[in-house]
Amino acid sequence: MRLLALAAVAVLLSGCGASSSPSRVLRIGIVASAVVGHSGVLNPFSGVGGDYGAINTIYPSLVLFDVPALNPVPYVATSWTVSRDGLTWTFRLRPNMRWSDGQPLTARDVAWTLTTLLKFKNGVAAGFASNLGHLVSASAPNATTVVLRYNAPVSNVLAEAGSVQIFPEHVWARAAAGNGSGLPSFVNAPAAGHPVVSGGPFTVTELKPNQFVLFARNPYYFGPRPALAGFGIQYFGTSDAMITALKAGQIDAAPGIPPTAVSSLRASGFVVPDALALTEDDLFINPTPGKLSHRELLDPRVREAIDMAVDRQQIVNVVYLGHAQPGSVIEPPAFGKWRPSIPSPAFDPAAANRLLDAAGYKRGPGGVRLADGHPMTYQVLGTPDSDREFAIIQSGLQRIGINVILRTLDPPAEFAAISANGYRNYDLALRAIPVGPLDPDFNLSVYACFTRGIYNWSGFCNPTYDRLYRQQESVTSGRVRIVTEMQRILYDQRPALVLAYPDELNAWSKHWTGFAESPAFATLSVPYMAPYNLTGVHRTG
Amino acid sequence: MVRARYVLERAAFALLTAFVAVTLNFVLFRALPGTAVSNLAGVPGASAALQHALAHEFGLDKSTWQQYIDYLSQLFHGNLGVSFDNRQPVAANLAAALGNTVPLVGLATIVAILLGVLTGLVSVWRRGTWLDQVNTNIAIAFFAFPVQWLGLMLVILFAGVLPTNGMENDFLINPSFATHIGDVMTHMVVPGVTLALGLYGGFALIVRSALLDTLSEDYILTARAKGLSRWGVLRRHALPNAMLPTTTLIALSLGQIVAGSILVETVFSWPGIGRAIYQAVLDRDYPTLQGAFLILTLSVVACNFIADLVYLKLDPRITG
Repeated sequence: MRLLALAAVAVLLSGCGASSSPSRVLRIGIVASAVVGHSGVLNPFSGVGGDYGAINTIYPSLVLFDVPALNPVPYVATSWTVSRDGLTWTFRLRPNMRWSDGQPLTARDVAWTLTTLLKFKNGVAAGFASNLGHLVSASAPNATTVVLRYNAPVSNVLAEAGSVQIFPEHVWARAAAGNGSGLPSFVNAPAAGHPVVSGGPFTVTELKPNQFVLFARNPYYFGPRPALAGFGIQYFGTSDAMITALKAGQIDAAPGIPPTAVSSLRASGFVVPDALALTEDDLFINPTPGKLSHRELLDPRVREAIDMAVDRQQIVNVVYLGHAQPGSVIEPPAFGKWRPSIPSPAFDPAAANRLLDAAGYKRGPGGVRLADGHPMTYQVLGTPDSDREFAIIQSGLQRIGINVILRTLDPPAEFAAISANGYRNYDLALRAIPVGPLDPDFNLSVYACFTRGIYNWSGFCNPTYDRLYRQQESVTSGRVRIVTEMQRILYDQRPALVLAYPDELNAWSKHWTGFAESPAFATLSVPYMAPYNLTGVHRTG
Repeated sequence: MVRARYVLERAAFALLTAFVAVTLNFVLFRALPGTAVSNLAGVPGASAALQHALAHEFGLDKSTWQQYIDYLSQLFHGNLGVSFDNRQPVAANLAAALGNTVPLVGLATIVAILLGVLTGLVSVWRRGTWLDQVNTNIAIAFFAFPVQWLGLMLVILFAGVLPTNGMENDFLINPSFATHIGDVMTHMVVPGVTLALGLYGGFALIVRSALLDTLSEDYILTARAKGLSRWGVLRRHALPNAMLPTTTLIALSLGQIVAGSILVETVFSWPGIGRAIYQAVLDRDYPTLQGAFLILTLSVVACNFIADLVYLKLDPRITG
């Protein structure tokens, strides 16, 4: 099977006039823990949702989002219209599309996919439930038309249902039979010389979960023919091993480079541009009104003082070696128009001290301030990579008479500790927010009441905020204004202090070109191995 | 008769140990904060509906006692359950991972045993000399080094010379069988050396210590008085008697091969059971963890039982 898979790549290579040598296949290394989903698993219903990047590459969606403006652009759909009441969306598809096995790719596949996800949205397809909010039905009146009917207007249909991967009905239908229990265990992998059926620019010809995935150009792809004949992804256990392999020439490109490796890679001749951040590091301050102890943390003046005592620039300089931007609002820089222009809070321990003095938090023995007779000493929950950031935070807070102690946990244990007892226990927590789709909705929902206990990392719950969240879901205009207002609420109430936006750092050998080197968007962004990322890549000479 | 009773007693103890370990396996991972549900549901697009669906699918909405009964029932039918992560049978997942681990860790362990026994023997043969000092201190040093640090140092040292990641060169096109085997063996060198260096020190020190104890016995003095050479005394009298404690260590080490090495497999991206265990801990994948630790437990218990039988052969007096 392995021989057939690589032979398939070799045939494709020879077909495009290139030599059938391994050097024509782009070799990418990725640290397994950086993958959104389970590395190399092509089943979005299993585990944490399958390998998001790999699935995006083989299963197309109705639309894509361009960069850096993040405007929707045609993909499977060439155009779309919405009815005046906002309840009916009609998509026109490209004609004569095919899956990689030659079967037609039509509106029927789109309608089947969305109907199946709707059918099981409270069961095996619950992970897609947020993409299908208010969707009632999906139908295909003909081969090139898809009609989506909603029971309420939804403002981000294109980012939600429009961005859902389209599955080939003729491959997945059997697994979806009955109650759909076959979907999570369906093994979506190449078999007996047959690549995975794909509708994207590449298909998968070899797969070893957690180890290696080999992609070859899809001869039936409806979009621009990729210059690359194929590429492979090797999954590494640590970034050190990945960097070593890159320098030794065992791989050609690697996303998710740690900041400490940038200068040595550039000195070795590798291309390592800085691209706008898709993620952020946050310090959560418990906002739960029913907090059991250290209730002075609910005092807005204490929260503001803590905010002013965090040296964000030092975090950028020391933790990220300059490859980051100081944090301010919850939408990272790559989200462009969705971000209000609010500056990063100034580092001003003197002002913080004056604020706490005026609020009556006097200094006690050892210089630690007292609140209700107890020292202002707090526990900060963190993960194993929080140490350096914590040290800077600790140093800043010491200057204003607040003492903090780090408790390191792995991510599941950290969330359990934060959300324990209805979020009433924890004081502060350090966390990098996971990446969501290229729409502000996910980042906003992290602070909504309905995500408490699920992925609300602070415990924040504010009725006004939630009302605005529902509004921005359904408005047909003015959404940017609402999203901005919501971020202003979070900025003022401080359930999370956004510390930094780490740049997306990807590296590739100078023997390859065609990567989008725009500072606006990372070509090899691990979470978004979207089709346009690699279609222009080719060897130099 | 006495021997038969000894064997039966050891067998019964082995079965009891296995049952206790199975129960502890079940309890231990559920004591970890955070569950697979909270872990898997904490992703973009998650919802309360997803949490309920996952909890029901994994049986985590049942009482702990019911989950335990279901677990024992599955075990007695030879079913290790389904992974919470990729929804595939745990047995199949672990079999694939074990198939990658056993050659690497097995070979490294055997090399470590041979090297350790030889080093310990040489140290005692030349005890008190500079060779003994050097051997002992090197063994202690490698025994003390964190194995993941040692692995990272070897990654840096051998970068570009020997492969330091994965089990094979996945980009090798159309390799012959011999080339493929050679490729895998080449990939085993650096992680294997790392493991062997980390293990051999313990063997060397145990063998040296056991031999030194044996050399103080009266029968050794008799052997010397009879005119046997130093090497002859070691080989024919001291070493066989020193093998008893060494046998225990060898048995336990062989039993632990199936545990892989979490640190080494992660550093070298080796797709073995150690790395699978590490990922399963992060994912709170209880069935995989229970299955992996069950295999480890049964392997150690079985090897220990075999060691008891070997003892019987080495020294029949132990039945008394």
